[in-house]
Amino acid sequence: MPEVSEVVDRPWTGRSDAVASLFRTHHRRLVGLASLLCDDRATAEDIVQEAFAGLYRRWWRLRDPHSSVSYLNRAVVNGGRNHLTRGRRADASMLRMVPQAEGRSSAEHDVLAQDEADRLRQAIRALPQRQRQVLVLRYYLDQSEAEIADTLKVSRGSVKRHASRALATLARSMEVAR
Amino acid sequence: MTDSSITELERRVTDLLQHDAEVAMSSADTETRYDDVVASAELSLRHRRIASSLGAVAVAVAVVILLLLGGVPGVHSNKAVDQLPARDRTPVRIATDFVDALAAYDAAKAAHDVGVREDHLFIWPGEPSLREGLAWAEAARFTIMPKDCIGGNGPIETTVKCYFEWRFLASDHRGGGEISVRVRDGRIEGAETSMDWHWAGLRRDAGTDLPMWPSFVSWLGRAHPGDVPAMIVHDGPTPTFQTPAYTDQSVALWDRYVDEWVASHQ
Repeated sequence: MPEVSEVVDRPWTGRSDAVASLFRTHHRRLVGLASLLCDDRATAEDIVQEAFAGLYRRWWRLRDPHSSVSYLNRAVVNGGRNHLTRGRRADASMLRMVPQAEGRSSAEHDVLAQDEADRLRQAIRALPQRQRQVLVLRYYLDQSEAEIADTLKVSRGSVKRHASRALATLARSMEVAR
Repeated sequence: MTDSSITELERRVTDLLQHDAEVAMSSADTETRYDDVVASAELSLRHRRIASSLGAVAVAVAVVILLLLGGVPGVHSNKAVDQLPARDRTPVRIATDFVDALAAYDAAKAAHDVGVREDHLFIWPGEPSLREGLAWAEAARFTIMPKDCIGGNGPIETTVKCYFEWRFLASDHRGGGEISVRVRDGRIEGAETSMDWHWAGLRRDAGTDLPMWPSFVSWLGRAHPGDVPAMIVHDGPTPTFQTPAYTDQSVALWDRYVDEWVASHQ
């Protein structure tokens, strides 16, 4: 199977090889991204699978194979948004951010740190959807304002506002908790 | 809220998101899920009627299969009438057989379900007939690898989309394409194919940035400059892709030189 760099540098490579290579390189990272946006690990895998299936279907229509990673990021963000929208309509109590400290024991982390992490997790979960997306793209994917704006199809000013408001909200939540 | 508190908060957010993502990733089944992706995509493609052709792809150059229809002498007469297909063949079956015949360079078989004479079918611009066009395609190592045909649900006239991958100049690299086959009352009334030439490095809009075609013509111009006019119509000293010559001499030269070019690059 060719490496990703080979795939994007040789855009005439067959679709199966190209998508398989992208899958191997980005699947886990995208599952992580989706899990931060949709609150459910199984759903996260489904969202990522659908993103890759969409890429596979549209492969011949991509104007630029280099844009495939951007396409995947966007598809996962949109998939997470759609899932949350449906979930909130159906049952707001189902919202939860994965993981719930699985695999960890109190021996590994002191109780205070665990409480703070849980509070922060809850606070992120409670953010408006757009603010949360900006936060995840900024601090998980380490995207720049311009990249976030491109992924979410909003202006850079909007990204800046959402990020600022999200951090302010989180800061208030953490201070109140103390 | 101070700058330092924001920085500390950002660090904690980053750590938390990374940690939570890591936990989710640890259970991601990357090794086996790819097969599911392909199966899901193929299933979706199979059940999905694509409304528009690859014309939406800016880099694609559509090559039209011209099937001369009404008004052409011989339509629905003599040979074509003798070869009327069985009524129980579905439009998808008819389109599939048509594409399979093209892939096999079998002009007579391709014409079986078409309401025109075989010598009135064309694939490439300027070709005298489908038979000669397919002969050139075979010599130029243009191969079609058929995939699924879908659609064909119209009550009287229907369009079946057949997808395929293709190679050119014996390259291992594959491009994508589709043929829309219009079927009416058990007969093919028209077909149009779109192929993403960009992937082969062959675009008519001066697409010389990819190596397959430019590499070949560059080699041809150096190795056999005297034969270029016999192989490509209306071409200058530096070959570009206008129209291939479909003469027996041209086909023989294409056949020989593509082989030679492939051997020289191995």
